[in-house]
Amino acid sequence: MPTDKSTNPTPTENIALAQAKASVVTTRSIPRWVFPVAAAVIFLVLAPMGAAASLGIVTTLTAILFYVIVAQGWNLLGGYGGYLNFGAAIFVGSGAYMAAWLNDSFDWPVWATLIPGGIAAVVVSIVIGYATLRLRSHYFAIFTLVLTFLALTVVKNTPALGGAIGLFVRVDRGLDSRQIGMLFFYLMFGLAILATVVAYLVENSNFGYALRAISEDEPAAQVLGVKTVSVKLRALVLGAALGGIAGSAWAFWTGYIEPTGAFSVKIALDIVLVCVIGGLGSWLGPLIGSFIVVGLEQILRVTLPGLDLFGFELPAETNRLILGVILIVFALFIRRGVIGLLKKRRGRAIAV
Amino acid sequence: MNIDTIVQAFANGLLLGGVYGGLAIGLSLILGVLRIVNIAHSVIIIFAGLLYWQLVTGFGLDPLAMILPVVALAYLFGLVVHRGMAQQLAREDNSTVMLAFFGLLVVLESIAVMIWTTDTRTVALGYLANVIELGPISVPLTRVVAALITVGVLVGLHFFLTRTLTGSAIRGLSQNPDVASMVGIDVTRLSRRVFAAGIAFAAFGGVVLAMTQSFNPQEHYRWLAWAFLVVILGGLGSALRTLIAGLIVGVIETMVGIFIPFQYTYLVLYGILAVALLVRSEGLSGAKQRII
Amino acid sequence: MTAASAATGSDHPELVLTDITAGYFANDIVLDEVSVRVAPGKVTVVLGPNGSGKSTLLRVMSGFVMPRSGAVQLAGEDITRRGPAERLALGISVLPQGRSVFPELSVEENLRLGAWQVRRDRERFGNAVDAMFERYPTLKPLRHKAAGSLSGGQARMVEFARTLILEPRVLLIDEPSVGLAPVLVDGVYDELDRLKEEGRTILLVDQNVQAAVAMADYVYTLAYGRNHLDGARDGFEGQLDDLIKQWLNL
Ligand SMILES: Nc1ncnc2c1ncn2[C@@H]1O[C@H](COP(=O)(O)OP(=O)(O)O)[C@@H](O)[C@H]1O
Ligand SMILES: [Mg+2]
Repeated sequence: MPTDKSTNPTPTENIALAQAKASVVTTRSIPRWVFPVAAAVIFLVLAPMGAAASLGIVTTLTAILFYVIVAQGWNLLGGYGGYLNFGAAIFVGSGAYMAAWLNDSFDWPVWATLIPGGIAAVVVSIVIGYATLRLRSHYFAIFTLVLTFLALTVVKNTPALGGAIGLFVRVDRGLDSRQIGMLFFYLMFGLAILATVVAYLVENSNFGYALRAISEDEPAAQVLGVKTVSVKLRALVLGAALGGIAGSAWAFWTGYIEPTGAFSVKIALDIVLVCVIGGLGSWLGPLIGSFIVVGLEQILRVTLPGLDLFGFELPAETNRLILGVILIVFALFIRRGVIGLLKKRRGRAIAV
Repeated sequence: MNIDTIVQAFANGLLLGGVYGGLAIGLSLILGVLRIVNIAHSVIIIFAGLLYWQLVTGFGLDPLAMILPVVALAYLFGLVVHRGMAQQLAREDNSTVMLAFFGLLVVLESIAVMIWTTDTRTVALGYLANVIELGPISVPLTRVVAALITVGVLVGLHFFLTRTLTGSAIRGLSQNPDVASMVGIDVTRLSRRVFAAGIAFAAFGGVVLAMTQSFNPQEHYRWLAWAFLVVILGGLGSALRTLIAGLIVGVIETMVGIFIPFQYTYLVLYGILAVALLVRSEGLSGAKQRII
Repeated sequence: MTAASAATGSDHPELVLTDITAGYFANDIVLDEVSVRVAPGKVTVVLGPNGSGKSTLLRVMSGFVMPRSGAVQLAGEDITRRGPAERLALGISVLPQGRSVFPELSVEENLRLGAWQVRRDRERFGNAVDAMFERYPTLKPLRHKAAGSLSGGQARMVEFARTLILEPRVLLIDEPSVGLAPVLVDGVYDELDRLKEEGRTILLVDQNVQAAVAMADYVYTLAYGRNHLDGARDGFEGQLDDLIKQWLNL
């Protein structure tokens, strides 16, 4: 855990951390045990699904679990720290391309590529972090957005990575589709539990309080001695590692990756939506948000093509249009997401 | 490599750079005065470009006459977005505002693709499609026209901001909104107009872009990167510095293009962006930030 | 209430706050049933320890904070719900606490923005700006300098000029000498004396108790957002030491 440095905070840093911690505690109005129990129930119910449910449902659930992993990673800096990353696809894509390249060139199996995939994303994240995390958060946000496009351009022009055509990624050929479905379900399942545990531990550590302090008032946190740049960088790197690992699993799961799919703003949008709808800066948020967003997308995919508007068939883009509107609505009216609706702020209800 | 190639590249760079100044000024205005990071900036650019394409190539209307309607429409759209979204978020933190604008980006991009598909578009400019020969160099008339219009607009904006009372009010608003309301400026209304003007300038950038280049509705992030680079190089100081920064970026791009293949010029410019971020921005406190 | 001051449009209206309760989103009750009368043509001073709500009181007067209950009246007319721009137009002008110039605008631009409300009346606008350069001749040679590059004393003069440019009928002044070098403080009080001699209606909030009371006609003190004491200056001068001691204990 990257809490090593924070275990011995300076006295002033302690004040900053305590303030952030206090703001966490006073915003909680339901018992402490409810959220962990809810998460445990979700995972327990999911556990038998990989073997028992139909292949279609297994595929959907695998997609949800994939989002849980990436979103938990994104939420560390984006949710707790307030530094929005509109380039989640960069980390997923780096991991996916590392895995695909290792598989394509050296026949590595999926297990072996998870760590290299994570490392690829970490390297990219360190470069991004050094360039932008000393600056105010909007530089980071714009930079991640435009870097997605740079990554796309670079990969497109790199023949070793398949150029514009992409790479095929082969799982062991002895398995049938049912077994492959199960394999990836349980792989993502394990990783999603891991990511959720990481997020839980971070939320309740000094590292997590430092991130909240940054989100609330970064200059103040800095003055009080929180090493803001290093805290942000560690959050970014940890999140990128999760994204990269998920990305390498994802490359094998889909079997084929190409630049426009891997480095698309669609992935970034989905991840942002998962965290915003679930609740920014809460470890349970991405878990709930993933179900909502993937479920929503499934519903839209099924219902929209059937509808027609004044004789025109609705184009596929309607799907994203609606998601964009939902994001605006949450930003305007439901800032703390579904989890925020459960937690009420105390101390605001002073009689007028 | 002969000298003509370099002169030609330099001329191309200046013309391109004029357009880049136009691409960036809307972003700079909204960021500088209102502290809003309009990450939907490049979508506005591309949307306006597509609309312009529709009017000129689709309906065969006059290319010069169609600039104003597109820009005016964008201004109205800006008023609506400010009323419905930006103003509601005036007291929210940076990240909430950016989330909303990211949502706007997605919405506008989807609509653009729904209407105009993902095809790459080129505006057929009719009588503007000539080539001017000037000694050793030859330049398309469209580029000259686009660059001249942009220079005119940016210089005009510069004088507006520095020489008129409303310009003073806008700069005052960016420096100290509280005092601005103390002297009786209707801060909300002025902010709305500045925001709408920023959107209109973005649309103007889209029009001059469409006059000079082919463009694709899904690749607008490139223009966001370019506009961002120009803003960082030029600072939020003035329309003139934005113009100069645009010219510099344009010249670098074409000069670099002489030596390395086209698709790698991106890499160089992104490298410059990263260096510019490290060297030139104001850091966390914003203490050194200069505002329009 | 005198008949003269009650007449709307009088050059010396009185400003009366009655039972004002007000606060901020994050800080609900800063003022608790506060009543203050700013007498026409007089200097009214409000004293109180830090955080007692003096600046908030001025914000209620100038319309930047809407009171939750209570009334604000100018020359007998209820203006509780009027916004800041309207109050400025009615002649209530405020010189806020701390630096309030536009730092990157020139001195002249700062003054011109002070006259923003009359910008459409070209003649009045031009005359108003000229009048301020007459009133503060030291600003004339600085006209094209950025206000942020001025010394503290010069910037204060720009702020005074900007506040006076519309010839306000009621002047609200918040801690004008705070943050200035001691040599410059005298200059500020000279300027305040001049304003008093001109017979303006002034509400002065100040930490510099001695100097403020010396020029006051009437004094109020606030404590914890409530009215504490009030009375004519003569009654106060004897108690100053006690007052200050009391605040130190608060
Ligand atoms: N903008 C604000 N938002 C929330 N609380 C405020 C604000 N301004 C002042 N306060 C609070 O109101 C109280 C009174 O402040 P103020 O009116 O500035 O007092 P004074 O001018 O007497 O020092 C203080 O507790 C202060 O923290
Ligand atoms: Mg005060």
